Amino acid sequence: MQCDQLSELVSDYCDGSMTAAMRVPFEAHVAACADCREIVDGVQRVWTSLNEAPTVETPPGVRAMVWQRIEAAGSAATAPQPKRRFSLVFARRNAGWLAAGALVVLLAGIVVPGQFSAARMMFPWSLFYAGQTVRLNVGPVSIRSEADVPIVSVSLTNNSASDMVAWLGDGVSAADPNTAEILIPAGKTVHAAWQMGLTSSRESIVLYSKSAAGSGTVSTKTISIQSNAK
Amino acid sequence: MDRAAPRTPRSPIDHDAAIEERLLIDRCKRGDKDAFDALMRRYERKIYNFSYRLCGNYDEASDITADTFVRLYNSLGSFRGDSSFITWLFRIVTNIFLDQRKRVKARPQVSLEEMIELEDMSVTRQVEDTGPSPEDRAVGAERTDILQTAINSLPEYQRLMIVMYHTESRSYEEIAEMLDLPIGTVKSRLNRARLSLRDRLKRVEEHF
Repeated sequence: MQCDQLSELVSDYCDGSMTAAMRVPFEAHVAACADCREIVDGVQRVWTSLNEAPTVETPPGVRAMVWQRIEAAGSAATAPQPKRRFSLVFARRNAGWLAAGALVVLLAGIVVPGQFSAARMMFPWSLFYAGQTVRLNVGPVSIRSEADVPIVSVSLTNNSASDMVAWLGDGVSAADPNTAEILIPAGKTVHAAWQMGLTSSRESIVLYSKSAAGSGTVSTKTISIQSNAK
Repeated sequence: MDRAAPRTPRSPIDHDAAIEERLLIDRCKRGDKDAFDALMRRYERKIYNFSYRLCGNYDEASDITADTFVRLYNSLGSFRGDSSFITWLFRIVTNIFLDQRKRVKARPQVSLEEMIELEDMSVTRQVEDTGPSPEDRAVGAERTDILQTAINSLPEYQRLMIVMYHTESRSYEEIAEMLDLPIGTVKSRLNRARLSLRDRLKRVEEHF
C-alpha cells in the first residue's frame, strides 16, 4: 500500500467499514510509516473530538420569533389588495439589534394604495459602516410580476443617498445611482436587494414601480439616524 | 473508533416517538397551532445546534432556526413521509444556511465593533448578544471553540457533511439523500474534510 492510498482510506478505517482484506495491508503500512501513523492518529483524534462536541443551549425566544414571522407574513398576505397587479413578499430579517443602545433608527411612512400592492410592507433592512459612510441594505425582497403585466420596473429612490446599487439574485445585474431600476418580465419573480451610502442623518426611501398598467409609489420609508453621543 | 450502526428507529421507545411525531405532523397539517408549537419544542434544540455548528454564530443560528420553522410551517402540507421527518427538516436547514452564505458573499459586512462616524457625531454599534455568557463559555470551552473555528474554516459542503455526520449522527445514506449526492461522493468528501480538519488542528496541537 502506498501513502497516498492510505489517506484515501483513513475514514473507512476509522468508521470500521474497511474489509479485513484491506485492513491487514493498511495496518502493516501504518506500523512501518511514521508519517501515515501520524495521519491516522490525527484523524482519530479529530473524530473523537467531533463526536464529543457538547451541545449548546437554545436561547429563549426562538419560537416566539417564529410565530412573529409567521404572523407578519400572514397579515401581509391576507390584507386587502384592490386591483392588485403585482405582489411584493418581504422576507423579514432579524434587525432588532439596530434599535439598541446609542444608535436609534426610526422608520415611518408606508404604503400608497392603488392599483399596485396595498399590503402593509416592511422592508427588511440593516445598517452598517463602510469607509466613511453609513450604508443601508434594503431587502432582500421577492418581487413577482403577474402574468398579465408585460414588464414591471421597480426603482428604489432616495433624497440624498449615494452610489445606490441594486442586486438581483446571486449577482449584481443592475447598478444605476439614484434609481437602481430593475426590470421584471411578466410572470417572473426576481429577488432583489438594494444598498446605498447615506449622506445625511435622515433619508427618505421610495419604492416606485412602473408597468404598462400604470405607475406609482409602492412604499416609502423615512430613516433617521440619531445619536446621544457627544 | 468504530461507530454505531445507522440510526433509524428500532426500539419500542423510538417506535412510539415516531408514531407521536406522525400524529403531531398530521395535526399540524390540519392547522393545529398547538401541535406546531409542540413540534418546534421537540426539534428546536436539534435544529439550533445543527445551525450553530454550521455557522458558528449564536445570533445567526437563532435566525436560521427561526427561518427553518417558518419554512416548515409553510411547506408541511407537502411532506409525504418519503424520507424521515428529521432528514426533511435538516434539508430545509441546509438550504437556508447555503442561501444565507450566498447572500453574505454577495453583500460583505464590516465588523460590528467599529465606530460609526456621522457628520457631527460618533456612535458605537450596539449589538445584543443572546448567546451564553462569557463565564459559561469559558468552562471547558477552549477546546470546543478551537474545534468550531476549524469547522468554520472548511468549505461549506465539507462543513455540512462533518456536522451532519459527527455532531448530528446522520448516516452516509441520510447525508447523500439530504444533499442529493452519491454515497461515494459523500464518503470521499468527508474523508477530505477530516484530513483537512486534522491539518488545521495540528497547528494547535497542544489542544488536540
